[in-house]
Amino acid sequence: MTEKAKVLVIDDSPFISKAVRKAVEPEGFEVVGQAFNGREGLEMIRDHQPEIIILDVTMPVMDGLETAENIYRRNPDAKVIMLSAMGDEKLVTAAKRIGVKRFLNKPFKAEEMVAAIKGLL
Amino acid sequence: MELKEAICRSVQEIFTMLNLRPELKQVIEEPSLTSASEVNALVGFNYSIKGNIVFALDKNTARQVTAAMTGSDPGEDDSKVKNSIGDVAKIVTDLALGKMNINSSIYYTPAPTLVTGENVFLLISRTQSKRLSFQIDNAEFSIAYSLD
Amino acid sequence: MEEEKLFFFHKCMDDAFRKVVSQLTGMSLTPITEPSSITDEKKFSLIVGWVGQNKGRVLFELNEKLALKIFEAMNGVPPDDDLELYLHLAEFANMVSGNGITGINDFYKSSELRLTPPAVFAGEKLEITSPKVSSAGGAYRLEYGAIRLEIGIEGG
Repeated sequence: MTEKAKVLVIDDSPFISKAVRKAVEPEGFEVVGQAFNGREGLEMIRDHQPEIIILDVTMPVMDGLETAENIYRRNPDAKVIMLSAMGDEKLVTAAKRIGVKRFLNKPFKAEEMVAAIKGLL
Repeated sequence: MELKEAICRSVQEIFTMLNLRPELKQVIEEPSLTSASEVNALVGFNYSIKGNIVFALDKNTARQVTAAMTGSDPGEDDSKVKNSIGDVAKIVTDLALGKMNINSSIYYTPAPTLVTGENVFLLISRTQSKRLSFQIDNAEFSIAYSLD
Repeated sequence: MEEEKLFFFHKCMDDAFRKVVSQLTGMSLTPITEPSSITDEKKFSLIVGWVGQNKGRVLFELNEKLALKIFEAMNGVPPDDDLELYLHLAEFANMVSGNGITGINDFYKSSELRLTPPAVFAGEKLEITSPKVSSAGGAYRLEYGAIRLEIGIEGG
């Protein structure tokens, strides 16, 4: 059931994790956790097997683009929504080239996040 | 070379040119939120690596460093002090980043931002930062840095 | 740095600021000419630098009362502690700056401007100076206080 899809947030901002929960939990999605950098994120993907990964671009240790490369290398069918305060063409193009299919600007509206998730499932 | 070593070497080089002999006293891992000083110079950087460096000094030490840079006591001339501390922060940061053998050697630092005040606290990273405490003669200053 | 470019940069940041504040907090903003209500009591200064074809920084200044209200509007509850407040303010500054820089990059295709990590300073009698920088700024009144937004570009 798509309503019970597991969502993992990979973002070093506690605010974004709260904002994602606020947006998706009323729609029946389950936020299984928050990783604060890409490396942690990859471990949590292995542990929780989320259907949807919300991935920030700018993070310490391992940034979003490098994390996305790792994700898609392991699972070409991964469903990743990339988040960034910077949405310029170059960044979006780089993300798409890696395989990211959805890109949201921060701050996002709740309905935008839900639509992006439903669009991937 | 790691950033810590690069900063320490750069401080030695630059301050020695100013006839100041800084001695590294302590390296402290700090939580994200930490206290700052009366005079703080922030230099951010981005491209191959990304982070922040903050020089933190009390007013007297800032005047001492300014006098060493300009050749005369700045007295109550705050803008002279801020200009000088901003300059030294940027020079040390640029030199330190250059020492790090980053492949592309592309790094950029914008102009420093000077922050002065009382009971100042600062956050330069969402994760931990490190603080290098130096002593010059009887004065102290510190450099907080974070790498994203 | 031509004055026209400086004011364009400021406009991009200003547009981003109004969009982000409105979306995150729902607060209304009234432009004011003199932010005299940003007092010397505990003040927050949020600083985000940028690098690329040119270099500069974005600066936000506001008192603690408004900072706390922005947090509450973003989260629905007051902050648990100072660290939580500072982290949210850093994210707020990052979102505004990111959106503003995107606007600039999309217009000046060769700019390739990138942000440095946000820094949050708080204290009494806080003064921010950026030597060798040309700046343009403005201020807004929100329900719980005033906020000043300034951009500074090296040179000029």
